[in-house]
Amino acid sequence: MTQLTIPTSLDGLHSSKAATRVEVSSRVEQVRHYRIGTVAVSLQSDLPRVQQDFHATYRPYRLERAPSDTFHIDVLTKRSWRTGRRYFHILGNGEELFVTRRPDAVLPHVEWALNGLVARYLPGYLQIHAAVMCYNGVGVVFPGSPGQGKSTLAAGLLARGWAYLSDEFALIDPQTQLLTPYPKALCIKEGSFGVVRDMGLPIDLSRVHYKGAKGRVVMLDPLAVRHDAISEPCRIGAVVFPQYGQGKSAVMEPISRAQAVFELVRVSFNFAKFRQRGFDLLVDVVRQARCFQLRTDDLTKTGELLESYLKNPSTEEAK
Amino acid sequence: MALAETSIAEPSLVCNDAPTRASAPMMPRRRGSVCCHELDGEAVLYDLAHHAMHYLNSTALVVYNLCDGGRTIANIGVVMAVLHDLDFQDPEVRAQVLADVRQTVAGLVENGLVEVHHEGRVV
Repeated sequence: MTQLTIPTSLDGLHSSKAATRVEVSSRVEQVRHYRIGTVAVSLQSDLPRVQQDFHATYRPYRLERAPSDTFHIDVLTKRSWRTGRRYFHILGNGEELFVTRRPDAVLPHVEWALNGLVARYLPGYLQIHAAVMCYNGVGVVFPGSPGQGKSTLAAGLLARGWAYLSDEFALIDPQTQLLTPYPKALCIKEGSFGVVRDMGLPIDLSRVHYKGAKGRVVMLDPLAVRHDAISEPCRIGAVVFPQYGQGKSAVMEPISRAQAVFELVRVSFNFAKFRQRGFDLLVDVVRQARCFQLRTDDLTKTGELLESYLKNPSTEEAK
Repeated sequence: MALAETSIAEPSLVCNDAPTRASAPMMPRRRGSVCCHELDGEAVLYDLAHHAMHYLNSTALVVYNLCDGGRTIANIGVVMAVLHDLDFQDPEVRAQVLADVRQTVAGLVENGLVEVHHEGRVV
């Protein structure tokens, strides 16, 4: 028997931080608005390069006006009164979330700030920390903790023609039980630059960013891969828990649905908000899905294996 | 709850299948605040009161379902022996089955999924 005690709320963590509010009302001229899938964001930045890079990635999602449900991200440049050094402050909905001295660290922290706002405040969806891809209309959820290679796996499947929903969030609509796209740019870490480039994906190594402990990263725009790369909402057909570096090229083994539900709750961002309703929802969607554990160190074989399974759903164990 | 945990630390109290020291045997019963979904012979359980999630394999699920407040540990042991085609009359088998059932029930109690009743009271 395994037990998981679920944190009561991410909001508690949030409110425990010493929030710093910064006046931004005088800087409205540089704000731009976007709706990336279901997520609306308004970005305002002192650094033109950040605005440019963000806009270059999300241009197709540009809006003229701020939607009522938008998340506000602000980048403020300040100088230390003591040292005169420049610091970049990244704010989410008016609360200071990050401070960095490196200009090349600002954009990844903007993405990080947006992810944090989505995880805490995006209403209406049960959120699982997962990459989500779609193959022939069937959604596949790849849950995982940070650093487990979700984005690289999503990039590999994108290169094989799969449609993309997200590399970070599985958003499950409780009404329809469908996965909803949040097609943010894929964040590819330096260790995967070569693999991703070898797959023919258009990563721009002249725009390498620095993402704290994750090191150097590039943002991969899925629409630069294919104009039709973004999936429509789709049902969950499979839940696949990836593990990497196990010394096997690619092996998929079934796991029980009960174990899958347990693990999905473990990596949910906002299960605490849904409780019984979220529990029933996860059981319902997993009941209709096949659940696997994937051990892999080979992206190409992983893609072949997943596709062979999805083409032949009766396959209980594929190797 | 605290009483139940105390009882678990004393197996003879929880698993009193030979009621020589008490007027009635202990009867484990599933707690009402726990929501259980069975999936392919296993289960996930959500404890609304403690906001905790649990996973039960198939054997633990059978024991959990038998904790209906009307069966003693010995009664549950008999059912488990039948289900696994074991000779409950064999003293060694009986001892092993009862030990396994006790351990499982103790785990269920410890995790707040089951409470133990004795003479109409939760202990």
